[in-house]
Amino acid sequence: MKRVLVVDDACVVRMIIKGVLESNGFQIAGEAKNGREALSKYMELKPDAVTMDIIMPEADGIQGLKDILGFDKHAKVIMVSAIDQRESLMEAIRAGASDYIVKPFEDERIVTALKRVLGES
Amino acid sequence: MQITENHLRVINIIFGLSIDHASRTLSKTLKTGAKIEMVRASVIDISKITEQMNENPREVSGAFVSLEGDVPLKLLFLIPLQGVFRLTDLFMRKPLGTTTEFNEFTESVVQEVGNILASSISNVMVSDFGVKTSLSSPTVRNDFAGTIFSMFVMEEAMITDDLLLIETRFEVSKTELECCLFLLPRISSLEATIGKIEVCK
Repeated sequence: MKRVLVVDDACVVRMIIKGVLESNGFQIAGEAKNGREALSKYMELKPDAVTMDIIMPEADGIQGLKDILGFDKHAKVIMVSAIDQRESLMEAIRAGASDYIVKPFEDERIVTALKRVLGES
Repeated sequence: MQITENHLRVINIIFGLSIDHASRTLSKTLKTGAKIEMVRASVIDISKITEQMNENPREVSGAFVSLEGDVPLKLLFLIPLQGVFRLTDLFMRKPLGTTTEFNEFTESVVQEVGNILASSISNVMVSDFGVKTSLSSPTVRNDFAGTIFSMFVMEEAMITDDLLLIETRFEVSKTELECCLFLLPRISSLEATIGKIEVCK
């Protein structure tokens, strides 16, 4: 079972994503509420993939993405954000994101994206 | 800066479109009919509006977000504590009446709705008007309505006696959910903002 680290500053969003993933055959490796915590949890838990919000306090999701890829260049990080703007999307792509999902999303969108980046689709 | 009728016309169009987009996003998030209507954009005296808000004795929850960039503005999503329970049930797709106490999750719902509304407005600003914006992470405060509103306008009140305030009304699941969204564009930067948008026409 593939293990996913869920990163979002809103605990209700983490709970919703966890629910969607668990009911679709994924295991939740852990949770983090900002980019900085995401890196330390990634190093500790070594998940198969990460879902990462962008607007978060202390260290945002783009920073979290860069830090995780700096630690593990093969990391699979999917950005999940309410920001639907070209500049934000391009920044995430340039930084090495595996996918970019705009909130609010359909449950299937996040499941399909994870399966694809993990080579399960 | 003197705000003219023409400025208000442009402001009404920009924020009307932004709020329509936020309304559709909220509907999709809650998976139920949600409508946010712009009630008015008006220039008002800070002391008068603060006095009115202080007359509201209820405790509320407020999500504050700042948008920086070409159109600097502050956003306040305000909802009475009783309404937070209803909003949490809708957000979590639970039967109404399930949530009965304020906790980390209810606060997080207010935070996320603030984030969705602010992001939606920012998305329209960028896509339709070609301006640059960046958002802060929402912060949530619970207190009396007057106290929360004073926190919201405090910075602007140090510079000017007047506010340009955009007021809205919410309707969720065909029931008026007693929450509101205030947008506070920085008056001092409005001229440049409108100029920038007019260049983009």
